[in-house]
Amino acid sequence: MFISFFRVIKASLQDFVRNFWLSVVTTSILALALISVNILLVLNILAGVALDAVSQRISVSVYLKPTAGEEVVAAMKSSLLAQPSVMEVTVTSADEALRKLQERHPDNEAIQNAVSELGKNPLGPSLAVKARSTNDYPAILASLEHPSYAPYIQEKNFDDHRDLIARIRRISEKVERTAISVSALFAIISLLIVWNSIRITIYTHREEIGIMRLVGASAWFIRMPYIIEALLYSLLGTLIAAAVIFPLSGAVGPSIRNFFDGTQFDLLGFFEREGWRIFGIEFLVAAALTTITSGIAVGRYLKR
Amino acid sequence: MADTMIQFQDVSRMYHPDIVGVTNVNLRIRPGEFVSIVGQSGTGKTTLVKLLIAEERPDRGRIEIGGWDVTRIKGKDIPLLRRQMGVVFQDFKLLPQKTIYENVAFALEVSGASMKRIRTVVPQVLKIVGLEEKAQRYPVQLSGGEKQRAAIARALVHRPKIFVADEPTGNLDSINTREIIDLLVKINQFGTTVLLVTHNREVVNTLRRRVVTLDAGQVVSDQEVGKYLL
Ligand SMILES: Nc1ncnc2c1ncn2[C@@H]1O[C@H](COP(=O)(O)OP(=O)(O)OP(=O)(O)O)[C@@H](O)[C@H]1O
Ligand SMILES: [Mg+2]
Repeated sequence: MFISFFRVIKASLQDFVRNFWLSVVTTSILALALISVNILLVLNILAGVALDAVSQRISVSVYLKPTAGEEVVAAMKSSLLAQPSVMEVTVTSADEALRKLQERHPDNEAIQNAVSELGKNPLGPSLAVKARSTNDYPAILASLEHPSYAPYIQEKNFDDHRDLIARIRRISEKVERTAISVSALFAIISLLIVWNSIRITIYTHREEIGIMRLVGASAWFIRMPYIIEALLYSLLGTLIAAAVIFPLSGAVGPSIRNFFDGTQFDLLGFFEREGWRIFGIEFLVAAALTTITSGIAVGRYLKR
Repeated sequence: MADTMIQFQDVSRMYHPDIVGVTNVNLRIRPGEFVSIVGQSGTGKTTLVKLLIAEERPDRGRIEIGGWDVTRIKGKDIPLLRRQMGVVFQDFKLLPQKTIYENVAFALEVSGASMKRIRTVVPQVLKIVGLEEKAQRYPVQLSGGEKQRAAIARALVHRPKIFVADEPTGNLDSINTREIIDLLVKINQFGTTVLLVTHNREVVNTLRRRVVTLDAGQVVSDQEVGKYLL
């Protein structure tokens, strides 16, 4: 059994080398297919990152009248936090607001004078509310209409990025759909090419196969080299894809970080962490599909 | 039956409703017999050989080899059947990129034989056919007769009980033909049942063995010590 296995492996390696250009084309197509799948995967992830980045910036600021005392602020804060959709509430006290204003405009005499003329703080406290999901803001804003809070509210300011979010969502859905159809298309093309390569390899070996059958070679012995060849195509295709994707993600990673300025997303790091799993799964899928294809191609030939 | 090696019972194989391969063939061949099968072109001789090695299946009838009903043999058992039989053809079927030694060894390799077995058996069979000196040559470097002897050596590696030669001398001149036929006789003397398909009148007449004549897919004569009839 072992000696047979060794002979089969040797035969498939010989085939691979003998039909060198055929092997090159087949492997390249498989690699290309896998590279595009990975690029689409990255685009998909980036769309997610973009959504996150935008969502992070959304918040509702509630400016209260100076008459709102600390206990009102505290009550509002805890009532907001009691809502499950609220992620974070940051309170800025009236004094703090004033200090910030003065710090921001140290040279603006009008402001400085106005404050000192009034003799008291004209600003009120404010609350910055962050929701878990962008869809929750309308409900949160509505909850502030409550009669016990409404009189204190000077202004509610909701930077509505919902249009932007919806747009990104649409784009990311489109990316996802394109990714799936392009990957499927590439998969079909690759399988046709693998199918064809195996047929050609079988054709170049038709004499040998005929003799093998004549002298009583078992079916698996005749079949195995072609199946191993398909495995070899998949393995090399995956390795080439990985060899392209890693340097590529290293190269474009910084520009992505610039684009979404400040995002923590690290493309190369992502592949370093997940690469084994991603390329492993891609190899397994490619190997499964190509060996099945190869098996069918040989089977059809042997059935005559 | 112990003294039956090959049995054809009412065997028919039609390639098409109007293309006859063989029809109603009844044939019983005993162990150790040397049987020549003759007949004009297209009368079903090769079809008979293909039925024997299970490359074709009969439409009707029953084929037994060494008591084994191979009429509806399973695909996975075909290799086992073929290892019981040595087969050679007019066109040798040697692999051009392999040496004679490698060609013969190939038959053992693909059936999973050990290196040790290959190293013992290959020189043995090459010696039987008288090619031990030319083992390292490639098929193109051999004469037609030598190529056929190499093919015979390869057919002998499994020590077959049955040896089938379909027009083995079709491409050879009379001297080489003589050598090949002598070799088949020698193989027969080891106790192997030999089936020789041939067109060659002289060969059949000098052999003085059993002759089965086919015509239009049917056995039209079967003589214990035959002459070429047609
Ligand atoms: N695969 C096939 N498909 C259809 N018809 C076939 C096939 N093989 C053989 N035949 C036909 O069956 C008949 C018998 O063919 P076969 O090859 O057995 O003849 P043969 O006696 O070996 O002839 P030859 O002496 O020329 O080798 C012929 O009429 C041939 O045309
Ligand atoms: Mg013929």
